[in-house]
Amino acid sequence: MNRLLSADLARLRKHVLFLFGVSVMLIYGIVAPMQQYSETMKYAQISSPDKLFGGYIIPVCIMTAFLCCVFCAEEYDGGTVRNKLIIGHSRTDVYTSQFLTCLIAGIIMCLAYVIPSTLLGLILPGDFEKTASILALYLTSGMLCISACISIYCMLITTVQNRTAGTVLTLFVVLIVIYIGIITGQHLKLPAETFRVITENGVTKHIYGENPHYPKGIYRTFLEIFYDVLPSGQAWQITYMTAEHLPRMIVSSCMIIIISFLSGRKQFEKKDLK
Amino acid sequence: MDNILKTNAICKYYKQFKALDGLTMCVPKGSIYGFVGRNGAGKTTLIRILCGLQHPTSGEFELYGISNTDKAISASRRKMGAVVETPSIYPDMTATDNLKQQYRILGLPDFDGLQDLLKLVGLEHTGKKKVRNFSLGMRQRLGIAVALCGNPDFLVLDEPINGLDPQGIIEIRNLILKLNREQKITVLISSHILEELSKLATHYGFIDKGRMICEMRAEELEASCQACMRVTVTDSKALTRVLDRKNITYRIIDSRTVEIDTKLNITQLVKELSEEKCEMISVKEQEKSLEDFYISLIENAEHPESQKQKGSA
Repeated sequence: MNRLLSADLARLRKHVLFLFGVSVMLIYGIVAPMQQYSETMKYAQISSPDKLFGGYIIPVCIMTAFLCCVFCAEEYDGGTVRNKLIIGHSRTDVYTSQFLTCLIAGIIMCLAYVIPSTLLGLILPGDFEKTASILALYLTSGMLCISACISIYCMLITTVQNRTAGTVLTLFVVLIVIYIGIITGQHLKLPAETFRVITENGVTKHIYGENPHYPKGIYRTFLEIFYDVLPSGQAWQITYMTAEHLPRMIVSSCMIIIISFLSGRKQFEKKDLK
Repeated sequence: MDNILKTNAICKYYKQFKALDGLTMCVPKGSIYGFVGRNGAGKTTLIRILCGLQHPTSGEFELYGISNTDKAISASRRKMGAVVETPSIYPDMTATDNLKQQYRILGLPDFDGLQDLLKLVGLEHTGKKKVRNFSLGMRQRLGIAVALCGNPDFLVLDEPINGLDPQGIIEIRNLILKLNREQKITVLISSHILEELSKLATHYGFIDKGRMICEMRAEELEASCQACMRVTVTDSKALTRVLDRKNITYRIIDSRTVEIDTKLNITQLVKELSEEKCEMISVKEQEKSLEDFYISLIENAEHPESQKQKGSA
């Protein structure tokens, strides 16, 4: 297992997509606080660096989708996975090593953003509004959300084992899930009350009433849980730092990681490789 | 242990399709085993099973005397190297980086011997050239070099000369011979290019429709490919009666033509035929190529009734 991980990490170190991803996140991590600072100066408002703290999650989710697909599918497409199996490595080890390598890549991408943006946020005017423990919880939740996404990508690419088809499928799934996250979030943010504007005898009146589209009761609870469980739902909440159930998000990410990892591994063990 | 590999009635089904149908074979230690069969005969399926890429539906095999059902099979696979179909290499890396990667996978402590390996396959001057810019022959040789990392003593090559130009074929052939003779590596080569195999192989296994038709040594094959006679007579039944009396192997081509696997005294044959009231129309001596032998093997396997064999020719 250690040998496989060492080999996979050596390959990751020189992988173009990984280097590109880290560079993008690093630049983003430097540019975003600078931009916020310039806007602060422009409008004479002090802005909190909290707003940028979760900015890494959506870009990393998308970039790791590309990276995982290409990194893993290169092994299946090029047949190099055979080199590992022929010399006696177990399929479990091969899959686990690939997963861990992608996970490390994802975490490095996150840190490439979080470290410079946090440091610059501390140096430039404006203090964090949230406490260190809450920020740590957000960071943990973000990392686990990325890990859950990576675990799902690894599972998907094992099913397809073709670079092009795998990348297309994974990106399609990513976009769909992000879209579902947006829709769910918007639905949850609907106001409970709404008003109608009517004009009677030349007088304009606002009539307040219940919003018929406002989700309530069990349906709202279900939507809230769904929004917390869905990785894209978590991603949006972390991006805007508006999460209300961080522990629930952490637990659900852990469950997604375990289920998708075990399912992908089982699939890989059974699969006939060409 | 005389055999590096022994398979016992291996079957592999893809839904209803039988890719391997009770295949049994033995690869002797130190041999170059030519695994011959047409496309779709089951060669690659068997190789994939040997390499652990697929699981047999039934049957078993032994690698270095260890059964595939034994957990120790993984350890025994460390002593084998394989190039299955296309060489398993990273196109975005250099030849050296590809070998380094395999060294890491094997867990070798350093990169000692890496340059020797590149030299062995004639890729020592490729420098920083990426594998994606290599010719097919170079990739094939690099694939073999990757398979040779960790000093295996059993090398499995699946169609190693497919798509290569004549120069590439010669390079691969010389490399295989060198590995077998100098490093005593047992080689299993699957191919359907028979003439090329005949320049290498010490043993042959002929496979068709997932079944082993026959296994033989190179000398036996050479003897089988020796000249045969094609005799045309007025009545082939009369000729077969004469040949049956002499215990000679023959094949009936049509109602007037019979192919005989041995040289006969023509005068004596004509005399005996005339006693059977049969005339000889022509006699033609034919050199049998490996392809002819293979085709006749396949035909006999498909239509066993068209061949009548008695004793040895």
